[in-house]
Amino acid sequence: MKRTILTIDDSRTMREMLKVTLASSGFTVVQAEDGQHGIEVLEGMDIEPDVIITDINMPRKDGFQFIEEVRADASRRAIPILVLTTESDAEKKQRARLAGATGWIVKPFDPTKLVDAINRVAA
Amino acid sequence: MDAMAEIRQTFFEECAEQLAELEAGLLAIENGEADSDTVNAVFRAVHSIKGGAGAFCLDDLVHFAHVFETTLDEMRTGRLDSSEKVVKIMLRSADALADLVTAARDGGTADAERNAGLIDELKGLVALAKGEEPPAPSAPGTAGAAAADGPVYDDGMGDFDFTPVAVDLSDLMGIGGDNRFRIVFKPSPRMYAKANEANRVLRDVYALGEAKVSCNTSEVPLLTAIDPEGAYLTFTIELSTAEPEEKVREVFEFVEFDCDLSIEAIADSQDGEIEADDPDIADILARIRAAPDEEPAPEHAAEPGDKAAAEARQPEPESEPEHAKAAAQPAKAAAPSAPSAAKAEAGGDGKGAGPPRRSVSTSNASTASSISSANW
Repeated sequence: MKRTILTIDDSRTMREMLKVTLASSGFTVVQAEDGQHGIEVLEGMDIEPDVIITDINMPRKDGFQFIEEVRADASRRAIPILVLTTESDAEKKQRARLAGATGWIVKPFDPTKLVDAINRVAA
Repeated sequence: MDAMAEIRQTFFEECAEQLAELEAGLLAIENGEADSDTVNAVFRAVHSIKGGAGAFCLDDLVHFAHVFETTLDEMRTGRLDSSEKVVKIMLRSADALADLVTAARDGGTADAERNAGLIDELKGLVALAKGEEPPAPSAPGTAGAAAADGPVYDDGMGDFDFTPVAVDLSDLMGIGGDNRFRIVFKPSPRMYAKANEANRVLRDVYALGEAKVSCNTSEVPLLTAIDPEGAYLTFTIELSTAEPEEKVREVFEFVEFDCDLSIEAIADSQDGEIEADDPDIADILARIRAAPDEEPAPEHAAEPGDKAAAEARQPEPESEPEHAKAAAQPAKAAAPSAPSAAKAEAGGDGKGAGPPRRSVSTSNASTASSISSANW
């Protein structure tokens, strides 16, 4: 059975890049445009995603708020969440970690490393 | 048109939208009409352009956007005011960014000297916000040099001129053949609360080479005292690998702040069976006797190795917490090594001191296949 990845990014470019990369690696991809949309998409899914990949800087609800909201729901605490961040952003990594992120993916991402990161955290 | 060409087209379409949003936001800031949402939107516009440009290796664009974004971040956090002078620099920077986008899209060149001057001005604003001396201006003719030297978008927020230097640690560490490490890994409840799992970390350690793992279950409490969101297991791993320590540490990068971790290189002379303190049976029996109303949990006392971990995921299989599951799996993986456990049971290191010790070590040779089929 294909793993399902929920990707959340306000940039169409990044969403498409993630979709192409993940689909070609055999994942089913579900997309959301910001943190608020991510919550709505998550609530509408019959089966929870195997992994969530989220950007941090987004309108309406940013990545930190999204992660906190997901982790506040006990039934969703086991979903691995990876944040998209840049190498230099130690502060954002730390904040994401405190919010409940499982790990991170450094942008611009290498397709192999992206899939590796998913495999590291996916059940 | 192939997929990447389509994404590239999407990127430039999105750049046009973001540049429009950037300009509108900066004009609102100039007119004193901006709120925090506007400043955030302006920041995100530049941040998004930088992110997409990085994916297409548009280094000049990435470099300029990075410096611009860093300056906007100072405004976003309130350290840099939105005075007329500041906003003018940012409006000119927005024009320069638009030129860089056009140059990247059409294959032309941007005004490198102007951009270098603007980068200096933006850096000066960051220095001002931080109360530091403004950096020395770029030497003429060096515009774009940083980008040509390699990726620059991952340098520190306050250190724009940092250039990574490759260091061969093998010279320092004596790495050449098999490297051996003793790793002690004690997950905390925080690690499981973020959906990280000990069994996945161990799986990645196994992938580095040959690993012998011991699971210390001595902190697993009696069944009635178990916190379903607690973490009680400590793993000691003896790893032989061709990889350097850096690679071993990478395995733990997602969890290093949510566990107790030590990674030490070990010499051949330190070879030996991994030892783990198991629960003192007499102590467990005393605790049971002292708590007559509690579940005696005889299996725990009788087999403090894998049974204890198995208890951690009971009694409600339907609501089995992920972390308890993780705790159980490595212990389960250790089960096939019962003969070696028995061998080490009487004294372990031969010193004969302390409580009864028992190793539950195993190698990845016997466990890798089951882990592989379960997780990949």
